[in-house]
Amino acid sequence: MQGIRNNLVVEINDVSKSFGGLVALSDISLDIKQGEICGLIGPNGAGKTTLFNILTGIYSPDSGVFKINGQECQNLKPHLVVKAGLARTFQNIRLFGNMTGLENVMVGQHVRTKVGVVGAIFRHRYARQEERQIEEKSRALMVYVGLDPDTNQLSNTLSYGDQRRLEIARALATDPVVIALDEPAAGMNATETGELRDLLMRIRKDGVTILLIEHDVKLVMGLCDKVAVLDYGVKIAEGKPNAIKQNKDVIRAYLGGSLS
Amino acid sequence: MDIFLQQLINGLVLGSVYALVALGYTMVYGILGLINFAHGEVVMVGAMVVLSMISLLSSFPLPLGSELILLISVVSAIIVCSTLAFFMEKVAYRPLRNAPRLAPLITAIGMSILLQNIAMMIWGRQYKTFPDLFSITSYDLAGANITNVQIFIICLSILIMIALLLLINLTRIGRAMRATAENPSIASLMGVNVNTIISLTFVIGAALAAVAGVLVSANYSVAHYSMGFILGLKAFTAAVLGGIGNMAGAMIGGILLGLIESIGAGYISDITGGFMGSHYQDVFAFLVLIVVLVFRPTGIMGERIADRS
Repeated sequence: MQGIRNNLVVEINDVSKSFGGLVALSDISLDIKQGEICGLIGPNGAGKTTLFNILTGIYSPDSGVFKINGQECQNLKPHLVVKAGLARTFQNIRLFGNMTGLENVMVGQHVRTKVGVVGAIFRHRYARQEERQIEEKSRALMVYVGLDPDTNQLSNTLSYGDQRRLEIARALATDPVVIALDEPAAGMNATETGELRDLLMRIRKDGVTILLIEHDVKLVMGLCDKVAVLDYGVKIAEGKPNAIKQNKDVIRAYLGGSLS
Repeated sequence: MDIFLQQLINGLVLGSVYALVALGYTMVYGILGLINFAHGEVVMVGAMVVLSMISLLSSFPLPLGSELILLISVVSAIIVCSTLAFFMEKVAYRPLRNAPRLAPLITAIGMSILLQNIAMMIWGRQYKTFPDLFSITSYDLAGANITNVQIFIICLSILIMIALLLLINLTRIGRAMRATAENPSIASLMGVNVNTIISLTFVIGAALAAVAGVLVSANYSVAHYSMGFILGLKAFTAAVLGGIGNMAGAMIGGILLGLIESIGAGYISDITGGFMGSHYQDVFAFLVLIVVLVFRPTGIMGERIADRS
């Protein structure tokens, strides 16, 4: 855990990204402290998901650096970013549909385990023990997010809300320092959103930092310790939820320029 | 009845070899969507390496038993073939990972021709005979013959396939492989090193191919630099028959194709009144390919429509 300044588990410095002539992100900086829930909001097309894609190694930024848990990650492949401690979920659910829920979560632990092919074939004691630990931990994680680990259902047959929860369990299985959630409440009803909110509070209490993209303003304002607002690829505001609510730039971005 | 049982046994032997080779096609297809046409050549290299190793080891005045000689030879064939497949993927397929599908298909065909010619340069153009390490004994089974080599082939293939199924379904490596097959980019975002998994898939497929090469050359007692071509095409047919991308399908497809071919070859002469002989057996494999492609392109086990976003 060396290299972390002031408990900052995410440090983004001047990250920019263009696609051809379109500037998707320009000079974004954002720090997130250990244990915080940081909301990332903005109108559609503001660059929120692009920022997620950069942080998780899908794109590399044109310029700028970012650190996860003290480790520079801007040039790392996705699986190494996961190893550094950042795991994510997806706006449109991306589970391994032909695997059971439990198997999905077990895949999440791949990065923290190490038995290779030879060990897996000959199943020596260490391999069996590791496999047992993977399964136990995955079961525990499913219970933690409120799913039944014993259903042998393929994940693509689970209900929508369960699929969202399963994605969170799978991300948690990578033992992340930070978990990045891309619109976890999308398409949920009020009850489900309430359950999600409780789950996120529990995750934070258990020491995992959360970066949250969400359109449900009530959820974001009620849950987050701080909120950053993107508009046309520029960070226009950052601060406590209450301050953000009253920020003139934010109101203008959301409601159009006519308000002032 | 005798002929039927005899062809059943022959078909089972042939089919287990097809199944081992088909697994290599289907695993690579499942993960990359690539038909590795050079896979048949890996089988040939496996057979050739074993032949060379056996004659090399036998020529030493060492007190090695035939079992030990065979074991060392097979292990070296597995190592050579796995290394070959590892570099083949790195050199010929990885640079084209994001190219249109036709490009890697063409490199695969190129790779196949290249390997055949290299093999011809190393091992020559003539047929090589498999040395008599073991005396072949024949057993009588309700009027049909089965040799000890055939029993060995069937048992070993079944063992290997069980081991592979366990590996794929019950271990972390297998899970990572299935996850990568479903969606490489998401697997990567969940911490799976996709390149390692792809290399591993090629290596495992090649190891199976090496064993298949040994078995097929032991069964027919010959090996030839071009033996991999037709064998590869038939194993590919078996993979398509079972549902390409599906491992259990490859096993079933392999056995089934072996049975169809061998029973067909046994009866074709009777059916056509002696007009076509058993050397037409290759016709059946490709007839099956055409029928499957026309009537059930997804194969026996294939239900999943490739969905890669």
